[in-house]
Amino acid sequence: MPCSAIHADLLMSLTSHMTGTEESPTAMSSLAMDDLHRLVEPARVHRDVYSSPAVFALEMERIWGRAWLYVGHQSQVPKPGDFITTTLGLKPVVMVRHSDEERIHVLHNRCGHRGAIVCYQRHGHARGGLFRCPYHGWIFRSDGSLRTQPSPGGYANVGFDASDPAFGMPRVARVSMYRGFVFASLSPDGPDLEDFLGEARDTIDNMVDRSPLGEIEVTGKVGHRFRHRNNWKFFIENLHDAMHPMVAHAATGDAVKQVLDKYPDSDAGRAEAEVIAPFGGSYDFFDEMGFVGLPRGHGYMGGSKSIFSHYQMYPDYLAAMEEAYGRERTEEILSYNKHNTLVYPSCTVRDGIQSIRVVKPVSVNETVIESWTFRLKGAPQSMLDRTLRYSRLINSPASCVGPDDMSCYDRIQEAAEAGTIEWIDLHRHLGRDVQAGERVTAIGTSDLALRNQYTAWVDYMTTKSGARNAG
Amino acid sequence: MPAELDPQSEAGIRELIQRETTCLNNGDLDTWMALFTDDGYYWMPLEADQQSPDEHDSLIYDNRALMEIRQNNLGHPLSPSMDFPVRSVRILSDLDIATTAANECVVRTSVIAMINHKRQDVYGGSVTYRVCRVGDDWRIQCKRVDLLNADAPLDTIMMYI
Repeated sequence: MPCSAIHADLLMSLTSHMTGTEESPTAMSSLAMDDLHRLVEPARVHRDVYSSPAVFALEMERIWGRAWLYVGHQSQVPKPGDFITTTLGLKPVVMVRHSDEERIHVLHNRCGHRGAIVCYQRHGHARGGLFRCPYHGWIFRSDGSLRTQPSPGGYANVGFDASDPAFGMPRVARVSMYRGFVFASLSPDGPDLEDFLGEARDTIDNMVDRSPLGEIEVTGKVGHRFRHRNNWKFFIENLHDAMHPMVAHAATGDAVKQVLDKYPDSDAGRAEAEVIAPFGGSYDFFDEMGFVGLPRGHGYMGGSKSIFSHYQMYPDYLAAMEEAYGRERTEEILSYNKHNTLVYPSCTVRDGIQSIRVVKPVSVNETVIESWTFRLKGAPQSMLDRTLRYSRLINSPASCVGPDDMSCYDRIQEAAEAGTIEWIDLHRHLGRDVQAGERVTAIGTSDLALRNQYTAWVDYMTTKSGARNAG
Repeated sequence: MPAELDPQSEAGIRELIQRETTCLNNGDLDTWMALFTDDGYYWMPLEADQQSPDEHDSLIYDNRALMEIRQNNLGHPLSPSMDFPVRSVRILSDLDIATTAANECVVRTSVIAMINHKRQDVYGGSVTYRVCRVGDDWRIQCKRVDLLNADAPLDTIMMYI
């Protein structure tokens, strides 16, 4: 079948699936699932995965509606009543520390009355642990239950059940915390958080263990919010695309080198070069780092070697760590070197530099990447300085490397929308992966990193329960 | 109480800020950098009322080395984003100049800036300069730009504002 016919069939079936018009929803779902299968082949993906609004809508339902998604860190809500607002997929939620039991709840940010968003503030403190809808004054407790409505007589003996959670700010189906990192799932079914994270837990452990006190906290009240005018998958695919840095970031690498050459005998540019220069690493450098694919689309580069390997060690930090953990354990913690552990689909964790980037899909061709930096409690200021420097140079909307990544994503997005390419290639090192238990590995420049994400994508998108991934 | 600013100094400071704006409008980062002291820096905080660039993220916090890195990068033929030229214009409101110490002033103003790079983005905010006298000239020790929407989702910021 010609490619354009695939596209037309798919859109037709997906569109009718979404609108639920002609056949029963079950029949439509299975038809759509067949078509979704056809979008992903072992060595290529169809452009619709980036450009079809219908596919995007299904992703929100089947991937983002099932997987555990990163919500926030416990340090953002230190006291009862403290809250942040964010989104899970497209759904607005509030993460709040409950007034009585100090539990952290994640609530749908909508009033049980007319559905209005209760709170637009990005962070704050709910006085008395109460949220009040500004439209008709319904008041909710920080566990999501409805407390009161004005003039309650109107609801007496009319069949209104105030204890029905639907009239509150309903709790998101599942919420769980791993070492201070709060995740939530919009689905009541699926593996528990620890099983879901699998080996990705080690990266979170390592970030926390890098604090001499074993505690980390988010800096500031708001993180960077970097708008990408392209599909959410480009960002996470680029994390482990080791064929791009030496090309797409060659200019930045050269810009840094010029400064180092100009001031050979000074410190000028040294701290910045430490962050930026590894992005211009050689093909061999990235091949040696290697890629490890994990179940459910997770994965990381590195292990014993990463772009953080050559960071200088600050003696006062090393001393604080050795005092806290002893020499052997300190060495173990600090020699752990992973780059961009992806917790598919919602976040990527960099333990070595203490930052997390969070994927916020907005529409099929718009995404916001939020980034948060962490302070290692008990570590000297030099460590936070480096974390913040990294974040400015790499994660900020005014980043030195971001515009070039963005330009490349935009080019593919625009080609996918225009239909100037039907299939996006994933051939590199196909068939050379090494499967060992749940892990699948390859040299760093393999397209395995992308293929592993699409294995999960197909599982989520084409099985009714997302069986292998979420169920 | 610092002494009142003499007319000659005030004229020097006004000229400095005017030149700074013109350099950015022309994309002339080489001349622009020379208007800063050697330890001068450019700071664009992420949060309103942010006290320090050392405790939390900033959108930009550039020392001289980073200014040079950005200058080298701007228009670099190997940069994918440089297929589109970066053009920009900014307009400042009248300057409020206050003497804070001998040979040191704080200058406050507001800015509206448009940066054209593939799209056209509009930025607005307040600008605070700390300037000092170096020999016969005035130079910038710190330029702080507080965007109205620093904490909102932002597209790539391709040029200093």
